[in-house]
Amino acid sequence: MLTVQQLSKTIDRQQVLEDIDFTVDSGEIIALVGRNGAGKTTLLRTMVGIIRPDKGDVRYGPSSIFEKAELKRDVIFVPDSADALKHYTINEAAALYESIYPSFNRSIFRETLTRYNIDNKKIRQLSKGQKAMVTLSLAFAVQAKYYLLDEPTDGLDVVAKSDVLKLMIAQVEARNCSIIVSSHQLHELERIADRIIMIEKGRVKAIMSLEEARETSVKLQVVFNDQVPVELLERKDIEIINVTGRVALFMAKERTKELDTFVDAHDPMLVEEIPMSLEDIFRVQLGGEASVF
Amino acid sequence: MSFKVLLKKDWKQVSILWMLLVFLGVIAFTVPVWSQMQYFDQELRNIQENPDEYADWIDGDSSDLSVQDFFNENNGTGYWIGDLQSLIPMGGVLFLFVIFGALMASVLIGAERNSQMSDFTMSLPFTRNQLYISKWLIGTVGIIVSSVLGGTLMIMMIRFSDYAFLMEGSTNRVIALVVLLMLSGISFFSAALWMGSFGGESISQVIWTFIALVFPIGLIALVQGSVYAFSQQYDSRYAFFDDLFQSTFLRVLSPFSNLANVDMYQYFTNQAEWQKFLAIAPWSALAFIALSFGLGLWMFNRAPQENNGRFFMFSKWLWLIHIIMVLCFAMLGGIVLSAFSMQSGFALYIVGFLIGGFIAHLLAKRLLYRFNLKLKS
Repeated sequence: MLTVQQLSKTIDRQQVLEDIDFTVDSGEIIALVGRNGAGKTTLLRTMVGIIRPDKGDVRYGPSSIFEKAELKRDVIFVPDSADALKHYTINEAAALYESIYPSFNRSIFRETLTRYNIDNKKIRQLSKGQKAMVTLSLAFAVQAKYYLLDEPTDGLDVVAKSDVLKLMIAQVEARNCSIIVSSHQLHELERIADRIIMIEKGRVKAIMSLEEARETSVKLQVVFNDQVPVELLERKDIEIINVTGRVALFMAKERTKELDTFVDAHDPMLVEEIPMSLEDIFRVQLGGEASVF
Repeated sequence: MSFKVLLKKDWKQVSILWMLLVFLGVIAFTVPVWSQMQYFDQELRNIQENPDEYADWIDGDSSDLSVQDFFNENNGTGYWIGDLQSLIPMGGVLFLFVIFGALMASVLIGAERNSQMSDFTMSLPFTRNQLYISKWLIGTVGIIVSSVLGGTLMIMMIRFSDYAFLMEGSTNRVIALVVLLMLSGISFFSAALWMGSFGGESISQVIWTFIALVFPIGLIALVQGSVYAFSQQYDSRYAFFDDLFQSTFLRVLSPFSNLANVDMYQYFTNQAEWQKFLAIAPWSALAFIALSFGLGLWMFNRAPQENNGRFFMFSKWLWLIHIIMVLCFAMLGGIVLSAFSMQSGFALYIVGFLIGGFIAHLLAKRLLYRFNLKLKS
């Protein structure tokens, strides 16, 4: 089990991480979501020892990852670009990984490359999608226990995104490894994540499954008999998505009886609960704007 | 886990520079020797062809002057154009080691910090000690290979030339000089690598390397200049700093000072100078290597990785750099302004000190803090 304990970090007098606490169990995919600058990348970089925390620890089993560097054979960080290996050919990169990680399985790596028709050439000459596939394939061929992926689908086209997601799911199914993935592509995370960690201003705002998140918040479409009441529009605890004539579509951070009573008091013609997407949950919980995505 | 893995990774980054260093090292050790020998040959031919022009300096008939006679101490001609010490190409080799030491170190650490390679490296299952030692080893081995190959070829060139007699009885001293050059090269590289432990990217690392190599001598020169500016006379305090320039203390802190204090004119002829050399020069170089390597290792371990890209990574200590910068420029300002007065330049020194300090303060604010953030972004 990978345990993050009370992780705190201050950079330039700004608290970037504050008392981050969570555990990662085997075989789960955790989505790390938060607005730009919330501290997601810093958290991932700290979890693998690139950045030293001011306080707290990251423990793999009984040992601290900051004290035993060899533990990082089982905790692989994949950054959002393949710049680090851009001067390597694919074969050279595989040889490097093979020499660093004894568990690296070259045939698994080759198999993935063949499946996606990627030839051996310098990594900088590959397309963005191919670079993402190569870096992920290299990491997954290590057969580690934990993977920390920072924006793995950022800037990829629809097909490449789908390939990356399939690769991630296949790894978890085949080897019961765990993946912590930070991304702004919420509709994709929604399809694969077992749990969501919401980060806001360096703090964990919530850790929950998608189902739990959906139960916490609510998205309603209400058709009123008359105009949409002004009192509804003025409420601070809801986010109005759209108002068209007598129809209001809104989300509430919390599902409360008081809200139900309020809506009922205005004698609506129709109240329909709309299933919440991860994007909706993100917006209502973290106050994100559509432009964030 | 095999240490070879890290060497392999670092080799990929630095291989071209490494091979160029070895190649140019061989050139720097041998070509100047060859051209100096050509110069000796030319001078010898001149004397043989124009004996009358050299009659005042050379006794007897110089039309059949031998190479040995040419360097005969009693004749003086050999002394005039130099002998063994002028065959050893100290300057060129040192220049090469300074340039390549800084370049290799900045590729090994600074360039890594410029790109995501640094994050990749730090996420590998190695300790920061292992990462630093691997980088140090690869550069140091390059300098050793360059010196051993170049030095050996240089000695062989002299040994099998008409000027072999110059080295008779002095082979050990030539070898010792090559070893000192090699240790100085390792010193420059170690210092440059140490600067990479806190310089947040390659340009900063090169600037810090330049500062580090000049700083110990420069600081003493500034204090000595300030003392002179007050007194306007070469008194005992001034002499104290003169002694300091030649002290073992400074030779340990500055590879340049260590080399400058080897008296090349007496090195091959004076037994006392040779003994002094053996007692101080190599040990000072070794002490500097140990010091810079140790400090580099210590700071590389503690450098906040989140400050990659900054001019100085230990941002909590920027104030100290600020103070040192202001003090040094203030002293320089004082010295420059007091030079306009023939008598005691106390007042002028103070004015210059304040002006220099103020300008340095503005510069420090702009360069140290704004530049620090600009580089980061």
